[in-house]
Amino acid sequence: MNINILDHLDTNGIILGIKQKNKKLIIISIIEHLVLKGKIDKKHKSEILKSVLQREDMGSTAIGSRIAFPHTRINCVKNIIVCIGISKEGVDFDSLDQEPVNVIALLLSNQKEAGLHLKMLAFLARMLRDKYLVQRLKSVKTEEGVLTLLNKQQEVVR
Amino acid sequence: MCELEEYVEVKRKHGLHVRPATLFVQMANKFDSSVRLEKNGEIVNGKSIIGLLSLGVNKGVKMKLTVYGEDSREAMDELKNFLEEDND
Repeated sequence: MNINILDHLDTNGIILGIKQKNKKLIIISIIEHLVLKGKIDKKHKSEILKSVLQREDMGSTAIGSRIAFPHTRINCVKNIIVCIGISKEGVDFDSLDQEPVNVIALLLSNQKEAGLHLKMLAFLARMLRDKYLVQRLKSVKTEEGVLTLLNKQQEVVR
Repeated sequence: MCELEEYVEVKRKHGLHVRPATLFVQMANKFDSSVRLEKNGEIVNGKSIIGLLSLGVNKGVKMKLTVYGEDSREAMDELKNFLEEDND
């Protein structure tokens, strides 16, 4: 079954203008955003944050090509939560290619959802390996604009 | 120069998610040989993490691994072993 990104992402899951100066601060701000928007229960915030940061300690999820996929599989999350953060200027995310990162796609999934996790990761990778899309995302001005671009892109990569 | 081609069944516990995909690409990049992976007719560069992730490789998937270059024998052995390891 094909993934439809719009089933997993709405404007509350998009953050424009990421500016924090390092990976840890960026991840904290994304998790705080998800709590504020009601996507994560406040009582699970520190557990999720700790888990995402621990994963980064095992090796950076900024895989090059200006993209990072911070993630964790954790039981306090129902199914899967996707959040896309964008920085026009690029931020330091300890990338494997030493380059700044413009698109941060955070994935939180339930431990039982290893299959969906991998499928979502593959789906996002298929969309974001297109440098043109990354370039376009950098200059989008609204959250709705990001959804529109991703919706168009998913029709191309399917 | 020698081209080698083998079918490999991925045995890694959770498939090729970010960490194993990164390790595979780092391993592939140690070699001069070009590395190519093919799944269901789709071909990606085995030295690109995003390419590898885009295949969405689950445990049990069979892929064609192709390597070409002076060190293709060593590359094939090492990369094939990695995919066939039964850990995460």
